[in-house]
Amino acid sequence: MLFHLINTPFGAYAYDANINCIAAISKDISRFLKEHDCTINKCNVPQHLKTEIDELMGIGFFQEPNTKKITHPLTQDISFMLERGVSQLVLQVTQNCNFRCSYCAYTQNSGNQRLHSSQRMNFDTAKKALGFLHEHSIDSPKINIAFYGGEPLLEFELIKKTVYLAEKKFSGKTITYNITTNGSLLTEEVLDFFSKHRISLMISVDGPKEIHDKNRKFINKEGTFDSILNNIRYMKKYYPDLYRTLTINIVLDPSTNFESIASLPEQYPEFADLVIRAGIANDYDSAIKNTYKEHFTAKYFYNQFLEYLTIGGFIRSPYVNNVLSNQINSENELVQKLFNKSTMGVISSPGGPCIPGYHKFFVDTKGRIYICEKVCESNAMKIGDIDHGFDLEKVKSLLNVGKLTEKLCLNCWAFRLCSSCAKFADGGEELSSEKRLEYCREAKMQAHHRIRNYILKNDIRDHKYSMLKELKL
Amino acid sequence: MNENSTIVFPTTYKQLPLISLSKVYFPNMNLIPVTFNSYYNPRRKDVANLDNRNQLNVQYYPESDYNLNAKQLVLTSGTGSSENIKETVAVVKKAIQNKTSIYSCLTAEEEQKLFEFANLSSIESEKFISSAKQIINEFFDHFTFEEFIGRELYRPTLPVVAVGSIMGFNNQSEITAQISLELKDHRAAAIVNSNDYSILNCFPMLDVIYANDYTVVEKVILLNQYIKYIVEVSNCNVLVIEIPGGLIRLNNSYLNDLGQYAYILSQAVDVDYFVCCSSCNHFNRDYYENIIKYVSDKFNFETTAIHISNCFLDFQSISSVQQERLVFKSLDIVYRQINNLSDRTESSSCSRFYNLLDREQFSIFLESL
Repeated sequence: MLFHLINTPFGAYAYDANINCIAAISKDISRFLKEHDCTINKCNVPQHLKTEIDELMGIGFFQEPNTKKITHPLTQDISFMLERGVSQLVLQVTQNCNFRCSYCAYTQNSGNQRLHSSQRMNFDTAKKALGFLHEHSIDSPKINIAFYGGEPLLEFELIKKTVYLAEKKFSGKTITYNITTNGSLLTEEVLDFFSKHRISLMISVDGPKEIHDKNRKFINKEGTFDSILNNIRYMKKYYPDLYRTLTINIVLDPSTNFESIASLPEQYPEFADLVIRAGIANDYDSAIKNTYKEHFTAKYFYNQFLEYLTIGGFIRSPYVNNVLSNQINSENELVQKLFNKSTMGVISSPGGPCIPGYHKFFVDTKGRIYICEKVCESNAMKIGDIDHGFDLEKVKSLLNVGKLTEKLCLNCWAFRLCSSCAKFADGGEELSSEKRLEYCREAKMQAHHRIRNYILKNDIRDHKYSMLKELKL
Repeated sequence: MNENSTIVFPTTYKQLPLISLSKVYFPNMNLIPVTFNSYYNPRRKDVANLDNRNQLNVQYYPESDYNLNAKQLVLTSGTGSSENIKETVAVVKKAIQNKTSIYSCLTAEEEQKLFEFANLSSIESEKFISSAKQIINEFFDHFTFEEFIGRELYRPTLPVVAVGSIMGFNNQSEITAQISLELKDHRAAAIVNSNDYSILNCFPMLDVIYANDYTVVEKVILLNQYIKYIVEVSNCNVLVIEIPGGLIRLNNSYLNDLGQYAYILSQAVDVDYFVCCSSCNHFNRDYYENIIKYVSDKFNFETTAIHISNCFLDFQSISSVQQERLVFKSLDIVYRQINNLSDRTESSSCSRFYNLLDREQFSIFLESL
């Protein structure tokens, strides 16, 4: 059966993946379904529940899965999409970094990911990568080039040459640049160049000094906060236009104090007007797994709840800090889109995988092409190289990563809301169904939270006025 | 390139039809496509690469690499955006320096922006010729709302063919021009939603229908009277009109003009034949049957043909970034799609699917009219 039960403070609900629909159900039905492990047959339904069950069945609940086969709908189109429509290139200009952050997968990992190294991209490789993007992007009106590392600013000269060449090569199209940097090497020359070429920056700052310096350290183990803060202050004063486009990335360490992290914009006015993105440290590839302090978890979810109250118009933004706003808003938009879809087709594909290479592709220092910068640089995630092009068969197998676990996926209630991308099937040399199944529990939990938050948001709206009275806010 | 040639700059997939149609209908025109560097692929020098159509045997050139030794420069509507104004200015200055005549397909607004950016003197600006702008100006010289009061909407007695696209962007300008050029012995005239087509003697769409300062009723009256004006000045026996924008919204977030221009046109003139252009996105026959019914109910258009273009619309990008994203498929995929959709054992809509850029299929379509 493709349905799932959810409880919120306001009531019980059932979600059915076949019709992508959430229905409010009575507590009796919820209890009955739970007791019978969500199995429905005419004989086991008690008389007093029959009407409600029949109503749900009438709108399509509790049916056998519509989808009989997993094939991504773009499988037959991917070849020409990659031939003509790619638009974003992420260049790994170096594997070196002047930081040694404790949670960084390049500092320590479970085996599939590379470690920090002195390997750097030479201009010839960058030039070939730009040529490759140029040849495969004739149908894309907008081009984005991102610089990634290690710490990309260790290769500032290469970045400069690449930008000059890109401007010539892509004249006539809108071209944007992004750089993800640790913020320690922002000299006047660098800022001047970024400002002139409208390069957007994302800098990682994990919270106020005491939190940030716990994990983000220079190679000599000294804290990095003061150096970054000085650079941001300098940028604000002398390059205000560039400063306005700056994004701060907070990697939340759940072993610390959430409220301290969230106080960053209050403690330092330099961060108050900036876009802040925050997410809990991804420990999937890490050898050291996250430690969750109870206090952190409680405050984190409490702040999430406050964000939902804000979205529902229940409270005004002064009650909440903006650390989680972007995360909640983008999740909210995504979930809204997921619920816009209609009935599942006979041939379909579970949620999760992006379209490898099409929306972005990542080129490492040696010119090997990977799906994106967030995956391990393993053979399983490699989709070609800039000399020989995309490996179409590999792209198709990554796009159809759901086939690895087809039987289970076809019968899973989280089929459409699944977040298990190809990264979670990385077996090093090849794609691995075992790896994919290892992540399955986490993916289901995320799907459960997505449905729950979607209901919560709508419930909040519906209960706004009655709750206002009760809580006297 | 030689001294009698005409450079078309920039030539992107939107201007490619000018090259393709001129080759068939104006073989002496000698149009030379020049594009921005970003659209030029040195490994595929045929201009057909721009939208992945069959080879035209016409080479195209990147802007960084051309020699402007030509009789005329056609400055197309792809010039106007701020991203490429620098390259455009360089081309214009070179043309002025070489005493090459400049035929402008820009809107008045785009032209003004270019003049300011290039810092052109008024004498230099006056060298820009634009028949599209001239036609619209002449129409407004003849028309006032006051004169219209108490009169009825014009009802043409000649056949009117309308060409529209479900989503927008699917060869509708090219097909509009192509039908009129093919029927030139029948004295056909075309109104196309791009000034670029004025070099092929097509009339521009009245741009005020997009303006906010007119009501829908005023837009209907204006378009109706503009059609009357075009019929009179061209003395045509057949009129082919491109419908701007799309016919339907794509989804609840990408509204695609809500088909408002199709509505305005349907109120301004009675359409006798309707050609519906579609992307190549694996839609099934039920989908097209629904579209045919929709345009019939909503606009009173009876669909004569459905053109399946080689353009694939990336709906995921449209939904997520609110931006049109097209990728051009090779034509063999389109033909396969048409074969799948056409079932010759059944009647009515089944024989309506074509790729009208294919000469053979276009002839079959014309015979069916």
